[in-house]
Amino acid sequence: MSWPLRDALQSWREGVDLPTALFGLAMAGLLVGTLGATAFPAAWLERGHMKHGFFVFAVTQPIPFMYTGEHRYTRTSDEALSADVIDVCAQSATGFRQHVPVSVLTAPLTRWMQASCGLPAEVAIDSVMRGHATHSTWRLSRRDGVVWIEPGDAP
Amino acid sequence: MKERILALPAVLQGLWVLAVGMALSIGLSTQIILPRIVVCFQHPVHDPWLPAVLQTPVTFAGALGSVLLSALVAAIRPTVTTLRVFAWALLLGGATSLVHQAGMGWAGGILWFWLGVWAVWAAHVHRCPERAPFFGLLVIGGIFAYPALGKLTPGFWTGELYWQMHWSYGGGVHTWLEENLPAGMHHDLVRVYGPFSILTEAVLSLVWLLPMRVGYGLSVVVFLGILLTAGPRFTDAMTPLIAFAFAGWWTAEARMRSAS
Repeated sequence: MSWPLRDALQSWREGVDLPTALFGLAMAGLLVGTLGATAFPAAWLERGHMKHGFFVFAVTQPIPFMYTGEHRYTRTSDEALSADVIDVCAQSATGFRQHVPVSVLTAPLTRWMQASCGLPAEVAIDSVMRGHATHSTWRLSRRDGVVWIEPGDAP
Repeated sequence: MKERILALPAVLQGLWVLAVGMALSIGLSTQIILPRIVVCFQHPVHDPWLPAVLQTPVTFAGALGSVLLSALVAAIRPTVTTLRVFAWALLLGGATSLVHQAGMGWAGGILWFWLGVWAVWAAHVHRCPERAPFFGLLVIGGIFAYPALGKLTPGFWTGELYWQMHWSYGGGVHTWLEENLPAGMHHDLVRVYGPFSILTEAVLSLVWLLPMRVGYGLSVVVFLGILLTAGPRFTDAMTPLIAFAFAGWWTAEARMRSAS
């Protein structure tokens, strides 16, 4: 029977080459990033009693989580964006309604809703923090062929 | 072709299996990946926080396309050079999707990145290639560990978030369960699935402690199980992992063959 851990340990005395050192560094970075991503957002998210949903992606992608965490942190002080899962209820003029559990990655989400739901160019997105009754609205508008996402009142 | 592959060092044979698997995975995930690219061209979203290069769909399409192209070339003409190019394309393509606007929240790109870390190591390792199976299991262990950690929440533990995200949508096994189980039982099942999935992932985060065949075999079974319960929308995330598990297994088998 082959035991990979035993084989790897036995090979240790053979030394470490550059690729192996870099691999080890990457795995260590993943560990540190994960622990960091687990600790810091939890503190942020406690405000909304939130630590679920797409946090699962967050911890598997420490780099973008830090990235989007920063994004979330710097782009808006809006309370709704401090939640890691936002139920997005998009309502078109025809009453079409879809719940999409998402992270705070509003730009790709908006694009998907625009494309897949056939929503009008301007639409309100209610961001509801689970466990909190905090609401916020986003205003989407199309200017020069570009969809803009801005905090604002529902149309 | 067979002789060409078997003439390669064991670790590069494993890399070839990964290249074949990635090409197949991208092919099977076309209906997920292609719309993700097309929609970027159709609906540009302005986001002043991101640099332009991370907003333009050309960057995203180029990164994903280079992975597919290099995987195909390496699969058809496996040489040290083509396999190295594939390994770097996988790493850089995954890294690009990690930070690109269109790749955010896309599990496939994240996994490409971490598989790419192993692939680049495998493509350049000078000594001790026998570490390859262990390093492969280490990556898989990480891929199990971090979701388990992230799911340690009431929402996932009770299964309710699974219900909201995957199960209530129906399709595949869920439509079958809905039609064949007593009313409400499908929803009740998710309450068992929640803790079961978290515990399974937590236990398998230690997969690198297991014997090679058991470790890789269990990983494939669980990846297939996730694919079954989450549905086809997880094809782009699970198929690269299945390919990776086969690559690690192949590497170990090839090494044992060459040693005997």
